Amino acid sequence: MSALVEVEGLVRRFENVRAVNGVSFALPTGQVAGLIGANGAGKTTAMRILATLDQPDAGCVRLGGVDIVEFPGRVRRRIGWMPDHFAPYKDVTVLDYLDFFGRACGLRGADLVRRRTEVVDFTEIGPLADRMMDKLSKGQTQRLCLARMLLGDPDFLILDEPAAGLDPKARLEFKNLVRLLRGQGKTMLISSHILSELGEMCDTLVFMDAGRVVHHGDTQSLQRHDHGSAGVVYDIAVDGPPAALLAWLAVRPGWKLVEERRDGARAEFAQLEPAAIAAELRRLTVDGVAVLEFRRAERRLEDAFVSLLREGRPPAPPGPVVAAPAGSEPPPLS
Amino acid sequence: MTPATVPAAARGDFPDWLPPMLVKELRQGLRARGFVGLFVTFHLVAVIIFWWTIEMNAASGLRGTFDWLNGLYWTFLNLVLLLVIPIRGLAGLRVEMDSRTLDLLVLTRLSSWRIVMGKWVALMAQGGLFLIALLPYGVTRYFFGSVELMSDLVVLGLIFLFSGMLTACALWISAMPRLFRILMPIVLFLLVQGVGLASVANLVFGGGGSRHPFAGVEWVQLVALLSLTFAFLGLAVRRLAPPAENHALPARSFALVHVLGALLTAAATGVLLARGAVMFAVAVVLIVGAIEMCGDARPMLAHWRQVEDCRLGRLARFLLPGWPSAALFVAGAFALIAVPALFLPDWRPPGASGLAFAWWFVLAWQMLVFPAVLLSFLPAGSPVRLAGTGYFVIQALFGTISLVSLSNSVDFLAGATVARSLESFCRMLPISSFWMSERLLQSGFPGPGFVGQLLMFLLIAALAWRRSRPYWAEVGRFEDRAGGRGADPAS
Repeated sequence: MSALVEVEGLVRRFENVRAVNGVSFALPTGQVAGLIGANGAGKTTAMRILATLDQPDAGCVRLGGVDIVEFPGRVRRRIGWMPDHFAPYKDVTVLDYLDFFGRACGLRGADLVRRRTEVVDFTEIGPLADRMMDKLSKGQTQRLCLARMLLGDPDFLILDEPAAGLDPKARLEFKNLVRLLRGQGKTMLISSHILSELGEMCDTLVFMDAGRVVHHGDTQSLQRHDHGSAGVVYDIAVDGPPAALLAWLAVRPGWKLVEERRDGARAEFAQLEPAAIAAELRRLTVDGVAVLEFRRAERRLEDAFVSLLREGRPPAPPGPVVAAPAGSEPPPLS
Repeated sequence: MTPATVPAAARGDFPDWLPPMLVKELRQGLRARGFVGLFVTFHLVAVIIFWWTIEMNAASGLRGTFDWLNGLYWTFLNLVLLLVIPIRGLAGLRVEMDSRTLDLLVLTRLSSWRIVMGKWVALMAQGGLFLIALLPYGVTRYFFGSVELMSDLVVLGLIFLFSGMLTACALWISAMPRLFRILMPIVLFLLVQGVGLASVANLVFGGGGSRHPFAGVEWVQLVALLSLTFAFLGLAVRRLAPPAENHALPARSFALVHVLGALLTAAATGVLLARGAVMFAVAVVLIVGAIEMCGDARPMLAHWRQVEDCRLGRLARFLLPGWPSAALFVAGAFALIAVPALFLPDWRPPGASGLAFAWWFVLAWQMLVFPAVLLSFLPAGSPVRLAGTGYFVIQALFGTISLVSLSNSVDFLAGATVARSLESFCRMLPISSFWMSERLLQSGFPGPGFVGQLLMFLLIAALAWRRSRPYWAEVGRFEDRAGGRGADPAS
């Protein structure tokens, strides 16, 4: 599959801060990619550059082979941009809003009516057609924004925090719309702080930290890969109180308790060979622990993100060392 | 939802013939409660007052009634066109900026110019609607006679143009930072009070309105109004345009049109209009030059591509954003005026020699370039350099020095050593040397302080050349790349 979007060595400085620092990745046509990072990681800056709304200090972005820094005007109509926040116009109905943006995209007459009807049908905002924009709920506004974005039929969609502030129902509807768009072959770059949802929606994930890409790969590989761990983590459920299991884990060599649970525990085993693991499971039952479930734990994206941040950070510069408080986490996700 | 349930706009309907921004602004503006409320209230008040005036003043005869009606008519008109419409403009671009919809507009086929023009035309159309709504009251005045149709139309046209200029200015202000948005309307109000309303009030109440309109429309005033309107709209466009858009191109083309227009006018009319036209063009170049040099723009390949599309070759270097290119442009524009003025006395201020006039342009160039050179020593992104603040602070500082110096040179201090020393010092300083150069034009060339001025000019020119080298190196790379055109998919 050929790459629709190619980003190479993107750099954007704000005074002395490198908000984006040598970012490179490629998105094949029809791929849905998630952009993940903490506040200030450079996600929105990178997305704005990709949307031709900002200029990089260095680096290159190509959309379908056209350099968007050099020829922003030529690629703008191929880009759909949904910002993380925008306020609705006053005294403008939903239909008038779409009508305006349709005209702004160069549509007129029958073409405008046809395209407007298509996006209204797709986003199911027909019943809201005559309602004032500023009277819409957050979810309805997001659907309207999506409809607006699709009017020009762009092939590369950039969505900055599209699910932020949506209730669960609206979030589910939005996820379905993204699925449908993927079915239409649209290439999408989505940033979100709800990582589990990104995992469901996206083919690949781009993790950013301090302006750099710390990981780019598909969701499954990220969840399977145990960054920074020597062994493999297992979820073990037992019949009754987990005291016997915890005692067994404490004395058994190679095992390390990760998390104690009401019905068992999550523990890490140092060896990776399947035979060794099978032997351990047999030993566990022989030792009288009533095992109900024993399975390899799938890492949550949040955990993967946290460990990636820990791995990706450069070592602290020499000087006075300040110990981080126990259990401290990286900054909150945006 | 089926297509049938979507209210179908008439296919190929009237809005299809208008710019999208104008259609949206008119729909939004005419639907706004503020506009509807104002429109209805305005008619109610107008009907009541006109009826009351006619009834109450019937006893005093037609003459008194006419004066009342005339005064009310013009007062209403001025209030709407010179106050209400510009005030509505103060929210124009701010609405888009606060709601963060500008990004969305930029990604459509709408350019920044079309966005601003759409808003401006929509506001002026609303003003026009008020103007038409006022016609019945204007017609009422005809009942009492003594109304000259043509002079009324001329006055109306000028007020409408003035309103357009104020509205353009208000749109520019609406895109400014908060402090400017608070301060500028006050200045604007004083300007309207001082120039607009006062002159119209004098015209209407002092001279009896329709019987004493403007003696004749001065074309220079008309051109100045249109130029100012265009300049304010251009400034508004700059505030919201993405960095990749080259706004030096239209701004400098605008100045160049004025210079060429002035040259043609001067050549065609001779002594009649030559000086006025030349000085007007100089003023435009000074204003455009100051605006172009105060920015913190860096050259981008996208800028170069836009100029390159005009197929200007190396002349494109005159039309790029950033102070080095602006300095080049101003030098070129001044040369276009100064060189013929060397040989044509009609083009120069009375009594000024050709060389003195040419040197005056050198001082003007130095005045414009000096703050930009000074600011180039500050680190990029420094707050002082942002939004042109530092540039105008330096201009104001040196301008104040020259004012102080001039005030010390008034008659009662004439001959005092301190005043003379201060004046000599200020004659040498950049900026103040230009403002004090009036006497230079009269005293011939070389005037007082010439050697100091020459040394200062050489120093500033050398620094400007030195500081702009990285800029021109970058532009050189663009030229090389453009020469290859390997990356251009359209070629």
